[in-house]
Formats: sequence, C-alpha cells, structure tokens
Amino acid sequence: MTKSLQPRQLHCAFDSVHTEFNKQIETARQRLSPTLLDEYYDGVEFFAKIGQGPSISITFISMMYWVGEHFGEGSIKKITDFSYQAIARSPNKDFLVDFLLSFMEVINHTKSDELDEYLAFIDYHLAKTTYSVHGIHVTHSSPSFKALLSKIGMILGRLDYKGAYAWVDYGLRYFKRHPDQQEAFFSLSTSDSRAVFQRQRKGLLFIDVERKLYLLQKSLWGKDYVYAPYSSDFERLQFFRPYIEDGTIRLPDVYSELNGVTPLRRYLALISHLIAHQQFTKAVIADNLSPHQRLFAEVFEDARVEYLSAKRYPGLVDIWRNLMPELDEFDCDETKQSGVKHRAAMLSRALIDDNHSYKNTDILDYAARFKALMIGKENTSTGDSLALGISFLAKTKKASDSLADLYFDNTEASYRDDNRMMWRFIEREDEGEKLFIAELYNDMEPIAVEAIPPRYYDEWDCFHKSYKPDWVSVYERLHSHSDPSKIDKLLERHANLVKQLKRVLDLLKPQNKKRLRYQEEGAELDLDIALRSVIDYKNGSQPDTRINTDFEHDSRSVSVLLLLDLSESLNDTVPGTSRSILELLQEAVSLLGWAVEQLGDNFAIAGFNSDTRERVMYYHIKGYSEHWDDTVKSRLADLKAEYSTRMGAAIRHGAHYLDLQQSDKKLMLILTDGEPSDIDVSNSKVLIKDTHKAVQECQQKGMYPYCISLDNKADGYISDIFGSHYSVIDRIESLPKELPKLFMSLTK
Amino acid sequence: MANFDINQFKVGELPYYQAQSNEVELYTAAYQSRLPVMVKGPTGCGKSRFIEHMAHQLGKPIITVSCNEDITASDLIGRFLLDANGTKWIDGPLTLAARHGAICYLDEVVEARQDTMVVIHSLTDHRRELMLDKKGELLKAHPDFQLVISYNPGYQSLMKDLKQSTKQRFVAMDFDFASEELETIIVAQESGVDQDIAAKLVQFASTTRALVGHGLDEGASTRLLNYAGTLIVGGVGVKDACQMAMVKPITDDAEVRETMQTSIEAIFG
Repeated sequence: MTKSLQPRQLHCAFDSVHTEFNKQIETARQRLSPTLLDEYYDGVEFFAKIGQGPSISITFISMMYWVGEHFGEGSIKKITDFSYQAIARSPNKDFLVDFLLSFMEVINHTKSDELDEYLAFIDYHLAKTTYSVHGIHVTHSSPSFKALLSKIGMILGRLDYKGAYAWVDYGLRYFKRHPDQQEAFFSLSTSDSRAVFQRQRKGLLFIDVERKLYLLQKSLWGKDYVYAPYSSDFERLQFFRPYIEDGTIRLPDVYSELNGVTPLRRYLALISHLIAHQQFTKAVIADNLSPHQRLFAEVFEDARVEYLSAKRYPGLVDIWRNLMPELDEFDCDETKQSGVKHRAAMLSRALIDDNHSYKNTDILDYAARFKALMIGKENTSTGDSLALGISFLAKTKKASDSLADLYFDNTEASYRDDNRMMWRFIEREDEGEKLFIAELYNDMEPIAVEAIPPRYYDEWDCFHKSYKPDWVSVYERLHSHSDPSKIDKLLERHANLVKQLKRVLDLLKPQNKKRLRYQEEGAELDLDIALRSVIDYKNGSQPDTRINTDFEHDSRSVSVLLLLDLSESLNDTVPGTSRSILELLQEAVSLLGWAVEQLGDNFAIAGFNSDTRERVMYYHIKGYSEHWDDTVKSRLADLKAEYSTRMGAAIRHGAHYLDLQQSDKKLMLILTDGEPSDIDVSNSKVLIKDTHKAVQECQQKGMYPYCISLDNKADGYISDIFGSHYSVIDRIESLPKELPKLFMSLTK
Repeated sequence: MANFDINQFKVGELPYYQAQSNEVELYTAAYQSRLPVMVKGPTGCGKSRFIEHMAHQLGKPIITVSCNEDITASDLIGRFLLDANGTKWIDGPLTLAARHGAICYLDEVVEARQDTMVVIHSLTDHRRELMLDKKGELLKAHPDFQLVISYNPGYQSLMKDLKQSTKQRFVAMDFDFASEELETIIVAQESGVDQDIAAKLVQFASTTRALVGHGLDEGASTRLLNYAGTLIVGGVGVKDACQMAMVKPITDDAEVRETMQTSIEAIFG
C-alpha cells in the first residue's frame, strides 16, 4: 500500500470505537507496516462484530500498535485469532480486555520471537483451569486467569518458560479444585506460591552461593558476618537496598548476570563494598546536612572506601566498574528535570573509571581532586568525603535540583548499600526503618518461643511425586529442665537391669579384629615380608625386621541419634499399670543414655512434636558433645508429651546434625508410639509416605534409621516407612529392658 | 665403627633463615645448657630450616629422622644384624647422635607411636644416657648431644598427641608463619621473584590461612609460597602458579577452590 492510495475506512457500528480509532490511527500508521496495519483494521472490525460490545475493540485499538511493532508482521492476526478461539468463545470471555491489556507488560518482558510461546503458555493455563461442574463442556471461567494476568510482568521477567510452567503446574496440582486458593496462588499472594516461584527463578539463588560467599569473606577479610537474604520481588521490598548492621548483611536472594558480571561476582562486589565501609567508614553527624549534600558525600565516600579496599584487592575494581551504570551525559535536561541523581551517577562512574567518557568540567575537576586526595593524603577519613561532597554540590547546584521530576533511570549501582553506617543523627532516631520491619512482621502470628528462626524443610507429596518446597517450619529449642535426681531414682529402681547391662557392655566393648602388618613382635610370622627380609640381607642391604603380623581390636566409630516422639498420646497409661508411657520412656532412655555413656559412643537425644506444618518443635535433650550428666538428666526429667507427630520433618532435621558427625556408622533410632500424623493432614498416608521419603533420604546419606515402635498395631504401616528396619515392642512395660538391648544388638 | 665420620652430618652452606624475633638467641641459650627443645608450628613455616640453620651456626652435625607411625624403638636406637662372623651391632640415628655428639632432630614426632617415644626419656633428663639393652651397653651421651623434636599442633587429634611425660622433658619454641612483611622478604629472597609479586603471593597465602577450620585444615605454607615464586621465576603465569602451587595441593573441595580462585583474581586483578 502506498501513501497515494486512499486510507482504508473502518467499518464498525459503534460510535465509541470510531472516536477512539480516530484518536489513535495516526500513531498506528506511523508504527505499523502496511500488512500489520491491515491486521490492525481487521482486528478492530472483528471484535466489534462478535457481539460483546465496544470495549474489546477500544482496548484493542490502544494496545495493538505497540504489540504489532514489537512482535512484527502476523502478530496482530495471531493475537486476534487466539483471543477469539481461546478466550472469547470460552467461559473466560469476560477476561478478554484484561488479556489484551496484559500485553503492556508482556512486550516489556518477551523477545520479539516469543509470541507463540507466550500464547501457548496462556492457553495451557486456561485449558487447565477452566472447568466444568457437570458434563464434558467447560462451563466455568478460570478462577485464576485474571490473577495470573495481573502478575504476568513479574512472571515473564523473573522466570523462564520452563520455570513458569513448573510454577503453574504446582498451583494446578494443589489448588485445581479450590477456586479461592487457586486465585491466591496465581496472584503470588501466598507464601507457598512465592516459595515455589523463587525456586524457579532465573539467575543464581543466594542459597547456592552462600558457602562460597562465606568462605570468601572469611578468606579475604577474616570476617564472620551472617547473611540474611531478602526478596526484592514482592511489593514492599521493591526499593530495598543491601545494608550491614549488627554483624548481619542483608542482601538480595537472587542475582542474575549483569553487564557480563556473573551472579557470584555480583555478590562479591556487594559484600566487598559493605566490608570496605565497615573497615574505613566512620559515622559523621548528619543532622545539619541536606539530603542532597548527603547524597554527594556518599558518592565520594563510596569511592573512597573502594579505593582503599582496592589497594589490597585490585581485582575488585573491575567488578565494581562493570556494575557501575554508564549514562548518556546529555540525556538529562536539567532545565526541566532534577538532575541530582544523574550527576551523582556520572560522578560515581568518573571516580572509579579513569577512562570514562564524560566531558563535564566539574566532574573532571572533582575526579582529579579526589584522586589527588587519595594519593596525597595518608589517612583519609569520612570527613574528607563529606567536604568534597558538599563542595561539589555547591559548585554544581542548579535551581532545578529540587524539582519533583527526578531523572532516575539507571542511576543506581546495584551493589551499593544504603550507607546507613555513614550517618549519625543526634536529633532523631531513624524510626522509619523500625516501623518498616515491624510492618513486615505484624501480620504474622506471634509465637511464644521466637528466639531462633525456624528451618524450613520440603515435604514429599506422594500423590504428585514431588516435593512441596519449604513446607514445614522446624523450630529448634533446648528442652526445659527440672530435677535431675528423678532420673537417678529411676536408674536405682532398675539396679538389677543395670548390672545385667554392665556385663553385656563389657562383652560389647571389644569389636572386630584388625590385622596389623609390619610388626617386630606379633602373633604370627608374615611369610611375604620374612622372605623379602632374607633377600635384602643376602643382598647386603639392611633387612626389615618387622616380619610378624598382629591383631588389634578395632575401635568403635558410631554416632547415634535417639529421636523421641513426644506427642500427646504418650500421656496414655500403660494397660494393667498405673504408669504412663512417658514415664516408661524416661526410664528406658535413662538406661540407654547411661549404657551408651559407658560405651563412649557419640550419642545425642532429641525429642519432637508438631502442631501443624507451621510449627514442628525439635528439642535438644542431649547433644553429641555433652556427657551423660545432670544437665542432660534434668532435661530428660522434664519431658512433656503434647501435640502430634510430624515425623518426616523431625527426621530430616535430626539427619542434618547426624550427618555432620564424623564416624563410620551413623544410627538414627526413632522411638515412637504411633503412626505419623498431624492435625492439618487428614489422609494419614501422606505423612507415612513423607516419612518414608525422609528415611530414604537418610539412607542415601549413609545413615541407618531404625524405628522402635510401641504401637502394637504398627504392623499395618511401619514396614511402609522403615522397610525391615524396625522392631515393635508389644509389652510396653518391657521397654526399659528392651531398648538398651536393642541398641547393643544394633551396634554390635 | 672406628672409621665413622660424624662430620658428614654437618650442614654445608649456611641455610637461609630470616629470624622472626629472638628465636636464634633463645635456641642458642638452650643449646648452651643442652636442653632438649621442642619446636611447634604449622607445616612449612620454617621449623626444619631453623634447626639446620642453628646447627650450622653452632658448628654441630645434625641427624634428622622423619618419624612415621611404623617407626620402632630399634629404628631409633639400632639393632643387631647378621653377618659372616655372626652378628653385628648397627647404631641407629639416635644412638649415633648421642655417641658422637650431634643434634638429633626428630621431625613430625607425633607421627611416631607413643611407645616408641619413651626410649628418648632417659636421654632428655638429668641422666643423659641411653640404655642399649640388646647390646648390654649403657651409653653416656656426648657433651655436645642435643635432642630436638618438631611437632605440628595443626593436626593434633585425640589419637595423635604426645604424652605429658614426653612433653614435659622439653623446652618449647612456637613457630608461626612470619608477618606479611617478613614473609615477603623471605619469598623474594628464597625464590627470586620481585618484591611486588612476593607481597601479593603472601597476601593470597593469608587469605587461605583465614580459611583454616572452614574447609581447609591448613593454609598455604611459606614453602608453597616459595614453590609458587619459583614457578613464576621459571616463566609460569602468576595465576597459574598460584593454582598449581597453592590451591591444588591443599584442597579438593570444589567450593573452596572456587573461593580461592576468586581471591586470586581479587588480589592480582
């Protein structure tokens, strides 16, 4: 089509569509090729005719020339067809406008050849979530389509398609039949949804480099800062910046590659900058300074600490420089816009990069002054940065600096922190930050014991054969204590048993025999070596006289974790007696604790119970390094039974510590009186399978889990969990006698 | 034994040793009274070099025994061997040193089994004598004889430690890696690299030493630094030399290696 031809007329019955069309058509003509323009016309006319009012066409008019320009020829037609086939003719037709509007975000986050993939993704979600109550035809609209569209920018920006599908699948798996939860999941407003989302992130997750970063700070600076990652993806934390306070470094939980700098290097840039501040920055009083003065003082201070740090580690400069934004010097019109940030960013670059391209005389002048200061003065201080900053601002101040329209694009170096350690306010405390933290946590239910944050464990979902990430929160506590003499009394009661055990223990101590070769004196002659010695001697060289072999008792190298189920059911009394299972358990554990101490094995005791997946308690009763003494006994004396039995999480947590022990054999004894259960899980099979999975995980790590069950109905499920590694003790009264014996036979 | 020449054990040229503080004076004083000396310190920090250096300064021969767990008392004292005329006694290194007046240096002494170590007891107290029970000889130590043991507390474990009764027969000297400035001088002198590179090598070594207990049992030693320096002088690239001499020998942990690689890049730019 050439310009000389008459422009095509729009055929449409809605006046409102014509009005909108006339407003936009000029822009569309400029942006679209003739073919695309035809597609554009066709689409507008088509949507006006499908009997759903003018609103779709109107949205189409204002969106599609952007989309057409981005995706190229054929794209508008594709979207028109898709919208009609997949959305307008389905129960989801009400969302068509939302779908078209979502392209605003989509074109920012997809490449021009990814339209098909995007449409396929939407189609997949719709096909899976649109459902029918009766019969074959889908009749109900997707409960989560709108929610998905509202987050589409974030999904496409943060995940690749593989990750996005994985995330959608997870949501479908758990919330397919639950419209409200499905909507909450796809709007990323639940923590489960976010946890799954985070696992699928592009880029490098902090948890994958945590150890490396820790080793780096340890090796380069000898520091022991703790890391607390924050997630910048979700609403309130968007403009959060890293900082260091109270020995804790707050840093983003994920980094992707930037300007050719790998994520690990980006993290290194961040911690090295923070530690440089920690080393060289001394807080100055900030009350009398304007925000702009502070801004420029910070620019010089950042450059100063980096300069000092780079004296020792010059390799860091390259990383910092690559992460420092490089701006177009004349992009900011300082007559209309405030150029403070623009100037600060240019200055930052000039201070770290000698080959910068800026021509501004003030910047050149101050970069030179900075250099002269750093080279000339032995001990520079934060005060010097402040002086430079104030004087730079005075020199370059413009009336436009305080305008509301702030030039902001690409002016922040991602690795730099908020410089809070640089300022000290005498007049006011920095209350904003505290409010902010409080705000973050005020929607959480306060839990009485809050000292140590929980550890999160995945839980196995047997129906979908996959893990639910970070599903269970395990809180770790030292068990409370009471009078240790109670345990001694229990032991006295079993004086006879103790004597018996002692005899068994003495027999147990010597273990396998190990052959020792090359002995000067020994039980047998080692013929090989004896012959070699004779030959040596005949040759005139010095013969080896160690021609005997001997045997030595192999030393025991066993670590044992005894994991006690402390659920409510332990309070039941044992049939035929007046005593509770808990009391018998205490007796049995006391005997075992005493016996193991005699053997000298590496032995820990822990208890667990659970009150939903939000709160699994893991109590330390005896640590591996603790001896069987009054502290341990006093904890054991205070055992209480409450709540339920979420065994899988407890096993995973126990395994975490047992795995750290250095011994040849690692035994995990689990003492329980019933099957795994919790009040938030109705199907007992789920937790049984999860526990089974946890047991398998332990076995893969080389541990040996073994269950001692006090439930005489255990045969129905216990082999599903522990295979053949279990014993059922039917007569609970005999537990004190059986437990130590069992232990010894297991470790013989 | 008449033709035995103890002087073959004398140290030829003066080994290079850079004193860190007053250790030379301390050792000399201990030698004047022939007190047994125990030198402690991490691998490759210069313990053996120091002893050799001192032996040369004092003009005494030195007999070195590297201990291992198979070493027996007769390996130290000596034993009878068969020959054409029947049997013949051969002195072990400890006996040689005591008989002829040398310094006997037992290197990495914790490696030897504890029951082996008790044979030195009578030599290291006021008696200064050694009972050669198989030979039926009570050997009085030569006035010049001194016993020195070295001992690396780094891999001290429950299994490998000296008995108190052994420990308490020695005066002890602690060795550690020299300060960065001194170590730079040592590396430059010993391997021939220039001061700048030596300083950076030393810097890198201290980053590895900071990792001890966090994936590394011991950091890169002065000896490895000298190796790295030697490689650089021989034309190997600085980073490759560090990898070859200071990273790969000390760890196989992939994450620690990557950390060290990053440190190398940070230091050498």
